[in-house]
Amino acid sequence: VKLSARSEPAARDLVRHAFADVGGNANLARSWARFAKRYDRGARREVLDLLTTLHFPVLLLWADEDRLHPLDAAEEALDLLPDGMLRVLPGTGFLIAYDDPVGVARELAAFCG
Amino acid sequence: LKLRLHHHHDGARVAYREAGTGPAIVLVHSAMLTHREWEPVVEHLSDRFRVILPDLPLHGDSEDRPRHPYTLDWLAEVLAGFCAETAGARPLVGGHGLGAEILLRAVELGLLEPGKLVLAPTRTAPAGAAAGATASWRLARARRASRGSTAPSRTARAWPSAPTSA
Repeated sequence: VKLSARSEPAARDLVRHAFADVGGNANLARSWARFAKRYDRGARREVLDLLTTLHFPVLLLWADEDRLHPLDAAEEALDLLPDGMLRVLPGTGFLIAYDDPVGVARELAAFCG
Repeated sequence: LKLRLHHHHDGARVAYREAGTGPAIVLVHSAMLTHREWEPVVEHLSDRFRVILPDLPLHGDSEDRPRHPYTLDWLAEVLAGFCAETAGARPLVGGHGLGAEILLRAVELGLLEPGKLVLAPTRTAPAGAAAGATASWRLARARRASRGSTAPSRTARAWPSAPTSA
């Protein structure tokens, strides 16, 4: 899976950093096993019901080249949100903040400011 | 960015970094990553916001001891407590992937009431499943139409809520 649409070299370092400790940490492996056993990978339709009840502003900040999270999902969510907004950053992948840090910061500041 | 620790009441530790001054905004990373996922945006936000970047339990420098349950509900409780302590009431919160899922669960459980919420790409809507169901229904309808038959196909019968008129 390609995480960075713009092939940012720092993105590779990010992932390497995240896993640096895993090999030597037995606690972490056991805790991860607990999490994985209980984590529901299936569809949680109740999230859709939840979205219709959110009465605070919600910004969907989406990447347009993230195949794991297609834009359809954000558009479906946008239809359900009472106070929702969708912003799509062009040329970004899963690691949206690495592909376009200025764009992400701009959207966050405009929405939260 | 300076490392700080938040202690949940059950003993779980959440490591976090913060930078800047202004209204607090908590940005939560995705599964298998760390607070560093949001680091590139800090320099562009820290002049206007106090940017708070936690490591989720099981990630980075945060809690990893196996005595905690690590369910979605537990993670939601820990993260809601973290947001309340570090960012106050009705905080600005954002999440990516698993981080966003946990934030939504915290809202669902009534533990977290954000002032504003940012959802970066996440499984908000299980679009895969929904799209799959819609696609198979469309396919069944198209096949039925092309055959010119009015009898519902086996696939169509599996979706009783689908309208029968083509």
